[in-house]
Amino acid sequence: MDNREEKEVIVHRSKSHRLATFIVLSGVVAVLLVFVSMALYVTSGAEQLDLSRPGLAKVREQVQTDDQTVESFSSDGTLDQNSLSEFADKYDKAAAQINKVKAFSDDPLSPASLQIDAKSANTNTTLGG
Amino acid sequence: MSRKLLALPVAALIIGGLLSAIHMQPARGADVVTDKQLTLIRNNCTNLKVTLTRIQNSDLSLRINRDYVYQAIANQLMVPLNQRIASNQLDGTDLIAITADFKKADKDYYNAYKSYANAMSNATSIDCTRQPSQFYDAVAEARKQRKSFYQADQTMVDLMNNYRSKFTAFSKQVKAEQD
Repeated sequence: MDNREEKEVIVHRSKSHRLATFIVLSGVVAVLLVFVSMALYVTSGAEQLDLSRPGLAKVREQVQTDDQTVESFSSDGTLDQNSLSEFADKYDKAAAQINKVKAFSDDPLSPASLQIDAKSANTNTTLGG
Repeated sequence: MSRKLLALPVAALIIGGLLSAIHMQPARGADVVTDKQLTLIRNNCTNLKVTLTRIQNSDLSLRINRDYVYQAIANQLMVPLNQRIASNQLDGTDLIAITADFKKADKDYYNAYKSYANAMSNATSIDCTRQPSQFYDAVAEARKQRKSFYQADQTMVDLMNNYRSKFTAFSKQVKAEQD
C-alpha cells in the first residue's frame, strides 16, 4: 500500500468515525434535553396540573369539556335595558355554577378526618375499627 | 455613665434572648404526634394513601371545573362588558378595577393550588410504614396549603360577587340616566 492509498483509508475511516460520533452525540444531547424538560415539568408544578397523566382517567371524566357552560356577552352594541338584562342573566347563570358548590371548605386532611388523631389512636389501631 | 451605657446592650441581649426563647417554644396546643398515633399510621398506611389520592383527585377535578368557569366569567363576560361600557363612553371604573383584581387573583389561585398539589404529592410519596412521623408532618403541611387554597378560592368568589353588586349599581345608574 503506497502513501496515497493509506491517506485515502485514513480519510475514509475518519469520515465514518465522524458519522458515528455525530449519531452518539445527538443521542446524548437528546437524552439530556429529555432530562431537563422532565425536571422542568416536575419542578414547575405542571405535573400536578396535567390531567393526561396515567391514573387520572376518572378525573378527566369529571372535568366539564362543554364550551357552552358560560354564555358569552358581546363587546359590541349599545347598553340599554335589554342588553343589561341579558348580561345579568348570563352572569347569574355562570356565578350560580360557582356558588352552588361550597368548595374546599371542608377539612378532609385533619387528623380527625383521617382518623389518625390522638382520640382515634387511643381507641383503635386500625382505621374504622 | 459608663455603667448605664453597658446596661443598655446587656438589657437588649436579655430581652432578645427571652423573645427568641418564647418564639422557639411550641405553641400551646400544638399538634404533637404520639407513639400510638404513629402505630396507627403505620398499620393503616395503605388506607391512608388511598384516602389522600381520592382527596387529591377530587380536588383536582373541582379546581379545574371552577377555574374554567372563573376564566370564562373574566374573558366572556367581564371583559366584553367593560369594553362595551368604554365604547358607549360610560363610567365603568369600578368594574374595570374588579376585573383586574379578579385576573390577578386567578394567578394566585393557580399558584395556591400548585403549592397544595405539591404538598399532597410529597405526602403520598412518603413511605408511612417506615416514616410515619414525616408522613404526619407532610399531611399537616398539605392541610395548611389546602386552607390557603381555600382562601384563594374565596377571594375569587368574593370578587365575582362584588362585580355583580357593582354591576347592579351601574345598571341602576344607566337606567336612571336613560329614563
